[in-house]
Order: sequence, then structure tokens, then C-alpha cells
Amino acid sequence: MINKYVLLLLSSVFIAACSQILLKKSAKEEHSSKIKEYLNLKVIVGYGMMFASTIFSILGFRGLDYKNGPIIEAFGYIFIMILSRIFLKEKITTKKVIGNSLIILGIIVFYI
Amino acid sequence: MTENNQLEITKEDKKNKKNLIKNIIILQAIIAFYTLSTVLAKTASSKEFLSIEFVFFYGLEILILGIYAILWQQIIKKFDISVAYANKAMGLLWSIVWAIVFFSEDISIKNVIGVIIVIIGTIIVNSDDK
Repeated sequence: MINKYVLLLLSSVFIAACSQILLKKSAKEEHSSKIKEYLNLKVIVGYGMMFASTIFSILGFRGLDYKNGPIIEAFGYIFIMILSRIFLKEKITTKKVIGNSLIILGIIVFYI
Repeated sequence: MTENNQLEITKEDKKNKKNLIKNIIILQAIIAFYTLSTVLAKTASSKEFLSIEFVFFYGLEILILGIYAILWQQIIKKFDISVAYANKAMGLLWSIVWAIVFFSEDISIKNVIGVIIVIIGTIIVNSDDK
């Protein structure tokens, strides 16, 4: 059922998915020290987005059972697969498609 | 190809497989830790916004997310982000456990079957050969 709480949590998931792309972009780069693996623009913005996503998720949780949270978060797998293809050139392989399809199927079974 | 070379390749394969399994276990432990933040989010959501209790539970959530973020930045070096992230599906299993333990929420057989299908999907993504 789509209501404003579900949409709030979905927004949280999308923001978090975008932040993952930034984090992975940074993780792929060479850094001169361990500290610089964290103190660089991509990671700081990425973590900032993750912080913002927690606000959205708390607002969403006000109208949702706890157990529904991770189910809605599962949409993040689709967001990540598409975003990583576009921005990181990660391949969308058959196994990724089958695996993620099963994840969606699992979500549907959970809801019906 | 000589027999020695083939032996070397087999050894290399075994080593890679062992490393992959080790990395998946580390990844899974980090994800199990992460799911505790959602327990705190749900707890904070039941408190008055910006009350002392709210700030306490929300603060704890942020602390767990902070530690998780530091660990995550290291482990994603070892995987495609689309593979590492898919492993978060195992968080579903933990959410069912926490829903029973902390919140006494009802869990149906469909919930359980759904979670099992999601977990199978995650395993298939993990078996992806690059």
C-alpha cells in the first residue's frame, strides 16, 4: 500500500542509494592515507546524504511497522543496480538481474 | 599448458574462493550490525520529537551508522557496489528476528517465505562471476 509514510521511506532509500555511488567512487580511488579515504569531498557528501536519509526514514517509520522498513529498503537494490551501471559502469549481469528479481519477488510475497 | 601451470591455477582459484568467502562473512557481520540502527530508528520514532529519549535513541542510531559507515568504506573496496549492496537483503532476516524480540510484532508464514526468497536472490547475486 502506497501512502505518505511509504513514500518518505522510499525517498530515504533513494538518497541512501545515491550516497553509495559516491562512496564507491571514492573507494575506487587511490588515497595518500587512511584518513583521506574518509576526509574527501565524495565521502563527506555521501555521509551527509546518509544523515539526511535517516531523517526521512524516522518520519516514515512513524506510520509503519518496524518489519516493513527493511522491505521498503529492498528497493535500494534496484536503485543501486541502475545507478552503478550509469555512474560506475558496473555490469548488469544475468545473475544480478535474476538475484534482484528474486529479491523483488520476495518483497511481493511478503506483502500479499 | 604444463601440469604445473594447471596446478598453480587451481591453487589460485582456491585462494580466491577462500578470500571471497572471508569477505562475504565480514560483509555479512557489518550488515547484521547495521540492522541495529533500524531498531533504534523505530524506537526513536515512538518518542516525542527532540525529547531527551528521542535524542538518546536517535543519537545511538547515528553512532551505529557512523561505525557502520567506516567499516563499509573498507569492505566495498572488495566488491562491486551492486553486489555489496545486495547483501543488505540479509538484513531482512535480522529485521524479522528483531521484530519478534524487541517489538512483539506478528510475523506471518508469508513474511518468512518472502524473506527466504529474498535471501536466495542475494546468494545468486553473490555468485556473480565478473
